[in-house]
Amino acid sequence: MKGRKIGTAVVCAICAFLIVSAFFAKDFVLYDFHMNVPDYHYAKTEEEKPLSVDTSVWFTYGDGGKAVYYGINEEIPEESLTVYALTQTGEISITNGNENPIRQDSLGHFIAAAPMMELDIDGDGKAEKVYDYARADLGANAFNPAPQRFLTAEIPFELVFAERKYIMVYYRNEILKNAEVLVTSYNGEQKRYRTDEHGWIQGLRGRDIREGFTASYSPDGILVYRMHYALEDYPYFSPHFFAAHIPLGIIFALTAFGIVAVHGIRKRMAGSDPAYEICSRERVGIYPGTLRQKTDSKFLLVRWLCLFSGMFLWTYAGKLIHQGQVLNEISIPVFSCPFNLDQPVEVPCYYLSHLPALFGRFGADFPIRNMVYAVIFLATTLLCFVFLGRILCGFLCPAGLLQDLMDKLRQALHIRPIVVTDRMNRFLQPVKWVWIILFLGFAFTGRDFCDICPLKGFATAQGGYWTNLYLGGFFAIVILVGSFFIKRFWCIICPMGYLMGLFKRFNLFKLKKDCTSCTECGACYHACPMRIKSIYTEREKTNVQTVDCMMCGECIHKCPEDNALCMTFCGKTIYHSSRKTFMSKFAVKDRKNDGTNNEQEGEE
Amino acid sequence: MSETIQSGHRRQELFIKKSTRVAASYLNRAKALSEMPEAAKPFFNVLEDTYVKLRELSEKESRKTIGTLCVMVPSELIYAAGAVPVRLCSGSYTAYSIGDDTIPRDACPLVKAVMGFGEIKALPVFEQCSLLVAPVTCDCKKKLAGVIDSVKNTVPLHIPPLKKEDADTEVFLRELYRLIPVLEGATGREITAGSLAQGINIVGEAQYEMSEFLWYRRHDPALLHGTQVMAIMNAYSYMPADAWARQMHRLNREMKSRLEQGKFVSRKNQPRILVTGSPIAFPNLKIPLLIEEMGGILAADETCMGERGLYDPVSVIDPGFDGMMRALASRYTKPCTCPVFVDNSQRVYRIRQMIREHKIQGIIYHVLRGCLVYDYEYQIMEEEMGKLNVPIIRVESDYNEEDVEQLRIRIEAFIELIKLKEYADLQGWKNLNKNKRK
Repeated sequence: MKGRKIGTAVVCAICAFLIVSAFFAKDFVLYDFHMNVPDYHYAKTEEEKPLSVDTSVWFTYGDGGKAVYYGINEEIPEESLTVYALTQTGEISITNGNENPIRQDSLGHFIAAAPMMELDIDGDGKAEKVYDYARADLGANAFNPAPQRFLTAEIPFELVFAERKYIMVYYRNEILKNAEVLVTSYNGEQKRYRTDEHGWIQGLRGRDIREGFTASYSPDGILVYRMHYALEDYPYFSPHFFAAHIPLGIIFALTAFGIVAVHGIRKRMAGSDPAYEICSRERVGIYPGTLRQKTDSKFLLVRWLCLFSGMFLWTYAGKLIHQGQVLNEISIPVFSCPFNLDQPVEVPCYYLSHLPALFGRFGADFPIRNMVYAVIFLATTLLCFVFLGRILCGFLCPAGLLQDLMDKLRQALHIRPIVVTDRMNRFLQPVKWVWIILFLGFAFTGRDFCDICPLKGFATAQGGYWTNLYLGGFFAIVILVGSFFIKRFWCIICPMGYLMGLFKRFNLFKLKKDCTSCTECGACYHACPMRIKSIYTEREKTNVQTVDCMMCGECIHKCPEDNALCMTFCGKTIYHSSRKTFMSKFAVKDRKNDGTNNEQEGEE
Repeated sequence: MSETIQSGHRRQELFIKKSTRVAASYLNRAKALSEMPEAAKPFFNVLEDTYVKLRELSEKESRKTIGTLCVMVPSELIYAAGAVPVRLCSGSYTAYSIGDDTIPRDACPLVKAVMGFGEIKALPVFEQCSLLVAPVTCDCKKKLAGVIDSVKNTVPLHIPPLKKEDADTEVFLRELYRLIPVLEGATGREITAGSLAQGINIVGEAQYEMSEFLWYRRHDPALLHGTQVMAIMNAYSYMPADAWARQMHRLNREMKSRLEQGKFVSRKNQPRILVTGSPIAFPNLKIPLLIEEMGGILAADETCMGERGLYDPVSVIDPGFDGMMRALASRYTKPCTCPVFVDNSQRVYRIRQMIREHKIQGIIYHVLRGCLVYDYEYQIMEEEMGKLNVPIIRVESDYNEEDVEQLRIRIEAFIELIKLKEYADLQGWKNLNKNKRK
């Protein structure tokens, strides 16, 4: 009774702390990259003109993401260059070429305009009036999905990066529809593209956007507008990419410290406990155990392969395969960070945790385009929720893999786990509810769930993106230390996982139990990372899937009874428990020789 | 003084004479059943060595032996401590009559037999034990744990009467941790993670062979007599698990060849009977023998001296020391269908499972006189079996041969009833199948 009261008090305190601290999340800074535009260095480039540059003026980046350079043809005087920049107040600052255009309130969008030139670029003997521009998008705002437009009379031709993967063309402050533009690619090749009715250049490759290109447009054959566009990209193995891993390094270092601390505290707390004394005889360290426990399970092998490929997919694949998002509209709900803009597909957690933004984004700007986007986005999210459900947690979620690896590490180190009893599990439920409320409702208070999200730092760093970590970074340490001692610790309180589990009734994958084969040995319950007790106490229903079940198959793997537990897909059994498989691990392999040589015929 | 010693000696001699005779006669009756497998002989030899030739446990490496009483004592721990467990639950009629003097009249005969051996000091396997681990299960065993301490160094092992909550398993886990230093003190060897894993491997090996064997046992028509299986399972009590597993492997090979040759011990329509209830400990094999001598076939048993002790394997979730201990704690309580647990509804499910797997046609519910916990559960079992339309009969017996004739009549009638029922099913007679229609 006393323990119960203390437990309740502790849980209340944790919940209150979570809510209060969430409101001051930005005050707990784990790591700040200071990636503000005012910190950038601005200078003239000393390098050669890139192949993609067709214009007389261009921008490049350097210094590991801390400098922006401008380049200009030698025949043009620097003073004649005009640089326009967007500021936070919405006004456009104008500076001369040799002045530094970066101000304290700069957003990171710059357009440099060269003076008009008379050039014969098409070689017909007649000189055209050529207007050359260069555009740079840098800093934290560069990948803003909403288009960042200048739309001033001084810049009649403008290229705008939108939705993280499209280039929109504006001409005289209007969307340029169904027109032909000539694009010089990153490798110097020239090709003609058309714009559609939304002004997007159709068929433009992601690599062109990432590495720079020039688009030129001529409305009448006499006037020619050219703009070189350069996005600040973070390629792999650049200084910028490695710098992105700094917060991750801090998190892991503190995690190691935390694990040692928790281990020490447990040791001290155990004190006079004889059970602990006997336990601690086991040497901590990496060495092979003698227990026969290997059983071949193709299912679990597939699960591990899926987890690793999921991790690869959500962190590296986008950039390696396509230089940016591939299927922007399709969304698959796993807890991976949408701040890693190179994910091949969308992850709904950002919009679920920013419901006001969801409606905002699908509203004003491009009604038709965004209706399509919204429908596909919501439909795929819903389809995944309804038909796949939490199997995504068990098979694809990178956060799940991270926790599984922490658990494997603990097993390899022979450190005693913390066993979540049903009482502890009951106490964890309120924490889960607090997380769900924060997840869905925090955005309505005008704050950002991402500031307290413990998983923000991982995928973004692997994608090479700089993300500042606030309170969430500290939570990440808690989650990592927790998942070291408790398998899939985060999954127990994961808000998105819970939302996905709500549709269990319609899932194509189902966990079923044949109650007549169950001996209630409880192996499934002890193996379950989510501590679902009903799986072994159930004696009537066939469907034992609960909101928490993530189809990891551990219960089936550890079940010693034939067909007592099985997983079905569309009613077809794909994995079932087997006594033969379970017992086979105890079999002595070289028994055949043993039996014939040492036959013990009893004495008569 | 010398007179008492002398009379004690005479008593012992008388005891030995009588008890070896009974044990030998039951062994011979079990062996005499048709087609005994060649590979089953070593098991019978072990029983003969223990009860007839009165030898100690034959051990090459002279490991110490530790006595246990119920199936809830984790033998893995004992192997981990470098000792061999010996299950001392006995069915000796002669020892029973000696224990009858110290144990109250209404207590169960099994407890009296164990106490009798403790007093007479004539069973070398019993005397050899350096420690007795006595689980506090039913009332009789609980008091026995207290009384037998005077003749043998005994450590009681608390078994929580409830098992569904985690806290109950936690209680038993603590109890097992408390047992470790006691075992270490008895053997002088430390239990480490490595030796515990070894212990789990050793018992696991026996369980593996057992699970293979059960495949053959399920076969209809039967490949060997259930009475002999009972003897084999009883032999496990007096054999190291690895030796037992080795012999079991040979038996499994013989079963395989029998299956291939189509060599069966029963006819197609011989009634397949399951025995459940109070333990059937050697030499008290009268019920299995009666069943099979009366033309039934003992196709399965749900008793703690039989299948139950070895059926459920240890499922280690975390391979660390604590993980293994937890796996042991839950394996020895959660799936255990012993009626000492307050809620034991799972026993009904287990029997249903066995009826399906072993194609059981009738159940003999065995109650030892004074075994209250099993008697309690007969009511619910009868109801459940009524629903399944499986005939069930309650037979009460004691550790003597006076009730044999009465038992014979009842069991014979029961077997005839099953035959008749099967015939009725075949002919489609409805009045005998009323329950099925419901």
